[in-house]
Amino acid sequence: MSKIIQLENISKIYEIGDIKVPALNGVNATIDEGEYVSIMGPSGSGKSTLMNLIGCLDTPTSGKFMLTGEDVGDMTDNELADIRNRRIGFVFQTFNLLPRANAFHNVELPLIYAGMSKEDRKDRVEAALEKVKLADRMKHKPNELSGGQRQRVAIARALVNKPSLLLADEPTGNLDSTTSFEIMELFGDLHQSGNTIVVVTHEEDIAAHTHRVIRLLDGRISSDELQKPKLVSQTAQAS
Amino acid sequence: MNINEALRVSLASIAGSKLRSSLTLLGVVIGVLTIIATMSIIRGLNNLVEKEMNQLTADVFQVQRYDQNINFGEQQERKYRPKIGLSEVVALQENANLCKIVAPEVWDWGSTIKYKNDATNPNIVVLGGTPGSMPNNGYNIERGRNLSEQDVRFARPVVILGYAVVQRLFPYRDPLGEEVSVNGKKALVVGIFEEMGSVLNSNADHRVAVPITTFEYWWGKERSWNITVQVVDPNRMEEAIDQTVAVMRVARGLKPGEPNNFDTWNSSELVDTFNDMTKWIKVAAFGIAAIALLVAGVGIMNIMLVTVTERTREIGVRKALGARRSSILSQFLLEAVILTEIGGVIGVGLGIASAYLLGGAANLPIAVPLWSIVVGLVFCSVIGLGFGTWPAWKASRLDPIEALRYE
Ligand SMILES: Nc1ncnc2c1ncn2[C@@H]1O[C@H](COP(=O)(O)OP(=O)(O)OP(=O)(O)O)[C@@H](O)[C@H]1O
Ligand SMILES: [Mg+2]
Repeated sequence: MSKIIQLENISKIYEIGDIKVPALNGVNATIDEGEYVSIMGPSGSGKSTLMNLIGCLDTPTSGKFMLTGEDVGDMTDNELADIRNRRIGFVFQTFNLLPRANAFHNVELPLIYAGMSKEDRKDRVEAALEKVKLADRMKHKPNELSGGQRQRVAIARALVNKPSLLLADEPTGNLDSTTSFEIMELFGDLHQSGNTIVVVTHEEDIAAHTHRVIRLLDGRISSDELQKPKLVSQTAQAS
Repeated sequence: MNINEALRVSLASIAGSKLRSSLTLLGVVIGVLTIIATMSIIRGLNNLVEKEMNQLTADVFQVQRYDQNINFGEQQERKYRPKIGLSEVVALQENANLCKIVAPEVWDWGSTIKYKNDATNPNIVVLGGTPGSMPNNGYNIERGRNLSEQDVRFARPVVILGYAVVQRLFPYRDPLGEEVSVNGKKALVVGIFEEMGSVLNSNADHRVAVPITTFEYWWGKERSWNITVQVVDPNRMEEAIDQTVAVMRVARGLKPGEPNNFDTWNSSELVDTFNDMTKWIKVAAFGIAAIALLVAGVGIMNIMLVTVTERTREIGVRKALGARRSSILSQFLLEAVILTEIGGVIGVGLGIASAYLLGGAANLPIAVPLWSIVVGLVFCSVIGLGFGTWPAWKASRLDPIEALRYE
């Protein structure tokens, strides 16, 4: 299997005045195509920082980050924008939907930036909303949707441009447990259909669904283990 | 960035901050309104002047004692200018072969015409002229006859009445052959002018004409004459004026090198004079508009900066989804332009409306020049682009992750 993410000795140091805060401190990891990985760790351990780097939203202070074999450090601003647009789908804990735009339009945005024609966009957006079972909520604005529905809109938006990599930073952090399992079920399906997924989570329950758990501690990888994933339905019954 | 999207977003953001937006747009509205209204009124007046110019027949020029355009430096000299009179007329008739009709005239600007017990207001213009004065001034006789050479030679008390005078004094009667009094002097009505309509708000129909000799008999001989001249060939107007000036100089005994102590002008100069007059009004209007738009521009910049700050998260989201810097830049530029143009369109509407309102109140014709609308709206776009650039640039430079983290 080909490597989709290669992290070599990645560090990220925030400077606040004279104080240097090392959020990441020499991270090495490789993620292959088709993997379903969870990143865990205590608050402040650098999970979000790492996800933002992988998502090409941020750049490391030092180290090398290769995305499908290309060095991201060499890329121009426009190339990074295009990668975020076409190759990566990002799901945030706080959804980050445009409040004044309806579900359809929110999902449509990446396609607008991809320069797709209006007719093509319509088909793709409808298909994506269909996939997250929100075909009947297309005209709803975010404040007219439940938290779970909002996150499903965000997932549809992340998927609509058919990215090779789906990143989710605590996607269920703001959701109740039932809704969380719905979302995890959706992720499971997406993984089944061939997506590479990296998900940050605090909850062991959620991490249990993934095939591999990377644990961070103080900006370093403390463990990186493969595991046999639980099926979502089993967890749901158990709880 | 697509226009529909920008239009929707900017309308939404205006709707979201109505007071702030309307205060900002007020400047734009005032600026554009000023341009449109002023230019419409001036164009209306201009049309009128041109219409009158055409009425005044393009092949006529006028010789007069004083300069048409008052030149303050020469005021002293002007006092001593000799009057223009019969000798100049005769000289021109005999020696200026490019002049077809040479007709002297004098004017009185506030007479009362009476018929039996009826009287007009004391606002009737009396023209003292010769037969040639009528064609030279573009007055047509509807019924009766023109003044004749004999009328002039014998200073006959005959009069041609303007349309409004006829309406006032002879509602049920034929005025021809009736006796009226002009400022208390008896005169026989021999003709009636065609209706002319209102020209520049001074009603051209409130006018009568008498022989110039009769005029001087009634009012005395103090007044200097104007001489209207119809040229043989309108294409040789300049030449005819030069010839007239030469003949006039000889007739008035001017030595070579002495300046002219009279002035000539033709109806095209009327337009020049008008344009001279309105030039400064136009400059002032553009000045006001420019200031209003500049002030508005600062407001636009402010509102856009606030918008960018308020929508920092949105910008972060858009960047996270793959918006390039250029997309963000053009989105906010377009929003600034749309915002300004909304003010611009309102300004055009109100400008046209107020021009017609003012025009209606002052009884002036209004013509909205298309170019003023184009200029107004282009100004708006320029202002929107100019003052929107910095906020848009700031937006495009935002770091995606910091923008997303913004609370
Ligand atoms: N913009 C920033 N400026 C300064 N320090 C930062 C910034 N972002 C993160 N940090 C610091 O970097 C460290 C890692 O932060 P990060 O957000 O990656 O943690 P996390 O593992 O995602 O935590 P959580 O589980 O609470 O989301 C923290 O100590 C944090 O204070
Ligand atoms: Mg985090």
